[in-house]
Amino acid sequence: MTVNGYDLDMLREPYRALMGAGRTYAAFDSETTFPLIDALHTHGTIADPMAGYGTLMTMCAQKGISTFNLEGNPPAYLWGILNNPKNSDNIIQIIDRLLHIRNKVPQIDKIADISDDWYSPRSYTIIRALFKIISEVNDIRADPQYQQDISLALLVPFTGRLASYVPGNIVANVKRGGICVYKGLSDDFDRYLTATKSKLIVISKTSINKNHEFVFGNLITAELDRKFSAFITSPPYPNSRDYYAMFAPENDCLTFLRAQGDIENLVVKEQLIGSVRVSKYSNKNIDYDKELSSSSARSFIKYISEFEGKKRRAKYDNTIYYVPYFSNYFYQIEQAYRNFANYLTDAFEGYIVVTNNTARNRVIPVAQSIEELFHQLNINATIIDKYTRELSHVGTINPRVKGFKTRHMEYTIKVWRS
Amino acid sequence: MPAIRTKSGIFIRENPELGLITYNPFSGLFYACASKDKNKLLRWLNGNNSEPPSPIYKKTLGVGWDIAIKDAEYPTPHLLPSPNEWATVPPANMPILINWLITGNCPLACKYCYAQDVMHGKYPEPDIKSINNIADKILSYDPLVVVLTGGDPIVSPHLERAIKLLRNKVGIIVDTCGYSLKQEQIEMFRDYGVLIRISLDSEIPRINRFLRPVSTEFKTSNGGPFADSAKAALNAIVECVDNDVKVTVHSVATKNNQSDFEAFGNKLFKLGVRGWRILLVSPCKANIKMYNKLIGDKTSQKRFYSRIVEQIMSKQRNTWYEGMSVQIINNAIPNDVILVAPDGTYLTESNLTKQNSGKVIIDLEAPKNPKIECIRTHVDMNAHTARYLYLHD
Repeated sequence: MTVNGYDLDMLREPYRALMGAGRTYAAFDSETTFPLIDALHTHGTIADPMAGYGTLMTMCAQKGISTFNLEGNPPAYLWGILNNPKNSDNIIQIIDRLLHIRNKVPQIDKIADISDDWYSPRSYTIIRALFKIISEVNDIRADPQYQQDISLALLVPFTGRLASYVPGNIVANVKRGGICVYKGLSDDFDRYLTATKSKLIVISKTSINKNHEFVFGNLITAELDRKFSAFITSPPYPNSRDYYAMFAPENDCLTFLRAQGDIENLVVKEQLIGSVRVSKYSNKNIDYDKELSSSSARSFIKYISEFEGKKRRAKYDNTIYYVPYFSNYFYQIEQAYRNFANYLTDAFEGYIVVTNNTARNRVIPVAQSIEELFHQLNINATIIDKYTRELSHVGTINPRVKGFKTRHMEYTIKVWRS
Repeated sequence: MPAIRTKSGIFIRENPELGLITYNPFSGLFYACASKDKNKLLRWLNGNNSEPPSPIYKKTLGVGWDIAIKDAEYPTPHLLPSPNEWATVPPANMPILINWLITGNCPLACKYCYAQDVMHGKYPEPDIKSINNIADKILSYDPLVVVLTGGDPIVSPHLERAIKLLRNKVGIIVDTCGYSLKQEQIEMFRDYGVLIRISLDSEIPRINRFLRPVSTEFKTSNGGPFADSAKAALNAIVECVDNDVKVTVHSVATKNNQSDFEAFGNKLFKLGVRGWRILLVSPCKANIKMYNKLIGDKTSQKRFYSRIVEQIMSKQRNTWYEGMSVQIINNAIPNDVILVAPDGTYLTESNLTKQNSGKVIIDLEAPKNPKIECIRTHVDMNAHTARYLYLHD
């Protein structure tokens, strides 16, 4: 696969998509977002408290507006660091130094390894060596944590090249275990560095405003050091991707480096918002009827709990997956926006772009529940009709699905306090 | 007419009506060539003429000795210079390929093993005298290629003897799981121009281990350097590629592994594997229950043809053609193969649709010395020809 003239076959699928389009499943596209940015340009800084890969940051930079971004998934956060225009020139210098070093990839005595884990022991050793050499040439004068994150931001997208994995049928799916071919690794690393440099040069040149902050944290528990008068954000699609699992090899790599004492922090303490895993829920036993404040969310989950479907297992599936999943999803969304509301100024304006997915033959009322929640917080919220549009196949697991399941509505909710 | 090894290394055999059947040991592929091209073709293959009768010969038969594999083409069906030379393709009059199950012993206990009903002592293991006799008998049928298989021929004490008896007379392929492969065997394969087919069903060790577990019996009696079959197979592939032995990988498609084939093929291509044969799991009398589990339901089978095969062939056309051929074999006609059991008995699969019919002896009157008429009667020679010339794409 060639992106911008570079063959990026060595990267894992999500990173190929990010190197090319700058997004995988993110909601923001320029058609939707530029008018919203224009509407908020007088506020100075725009916040995105569920920043994902930093798509909004890139758009705002091009429009000359600074941003504050919060993201809780380490690989996505590191992608934001890599793409932050503030860091571009420094990272380009790091890349130039790396490109001048010969034999930076350790000599490998075998052309391939096979493993049931994300990485073979040999791959882990190579990753540590690469991290060490990147860190050695990284002379960014910043606090040690930020310096570490810059090195990781450059390393982590490439670690998939050393992983033992099998890609799934869609970009978000990845299976643990497989063959890792080391042949050509050194050339691949150089090509990756060159392609990244080329991308960063574009970012640097096209960013009118380079004042952006990208912070690691989960909006549910985050404690922020300031208040915001403008924001644009988008919550994860319901019943769709597990963004932590989508980057499972990279997250495993970070866990390994932390266990070795090579890095600090970037720990995911709580389940990411929208994760589809129900078995590890910390909030598994949420009583949706009592703990959700949105009536549209409650009545949707009640419908789900009673859904009989055509298959015998439908009720069983409701109990073990759908009800706990949706209870948790809506609970987390509510908790996240409740917390964020504490960091909004007395007068503010923001936009939340939401795509309502479908489940069990019913539209999942995410937009409506968010609107309700803000009303309960005594904050104005309304869906803007002119931005409402119908999308198809956004977030569906099976791209061949037809009919109702593929029809998703994108809503833009304006939230404000005068 | 027996097969001839030309100076280029390509094996040829003349076949009435069908033309010249050829085997390229560098790619492991068979082609039928039009009779009209015979003389010019032979001159080229014997190094007496710089150019073949048509450029497509160079891109198929020339691979490995006249042109690099990256310049290869893989036309289907395997009829040269073009299928237009034949109105209908007649069956080969003599076997194109004979599978010699040189031993019934194997380090693995594959869930779907198609040879389960001839293994583990069901037919006596051969001694050196019978190896000589079996090889002579096989050569009397003028095959173009003999596949040394089993069980796993690597664990047979007679492997080297068998190769020496066959070399330069026919093309030789060795089928193995790679579990006990030794460096001296790798060197022997390289020196004798043997193509090695290593079985690996999935690059994910736990899936491969499920389908192809190491036999408890073998582990106990022989030990072995590897904990699982995937590690052994990858090691064998890497060692063979490093030692310039031509390697083809054999994968049996089941519902458990077929979804991962596209990614798996990418890795094989990067490793330097020359060919990849994917065989849809086929029934064996001894394993019918397991077969039914592994083949999956109708949806899964349909998906194999509608999506997986399409995905793989598209990848082959667009990327892998530079280094790796791909063949997908659905085993739809069971009696298209000729099998020689460890004791020299000639077998084929029954063509009854009943799944548990099992293997049948080709000539009950002379099991180890079957009349060629019996082979032609019991083995579907049309399907046999179609299988190796890839007539049904």
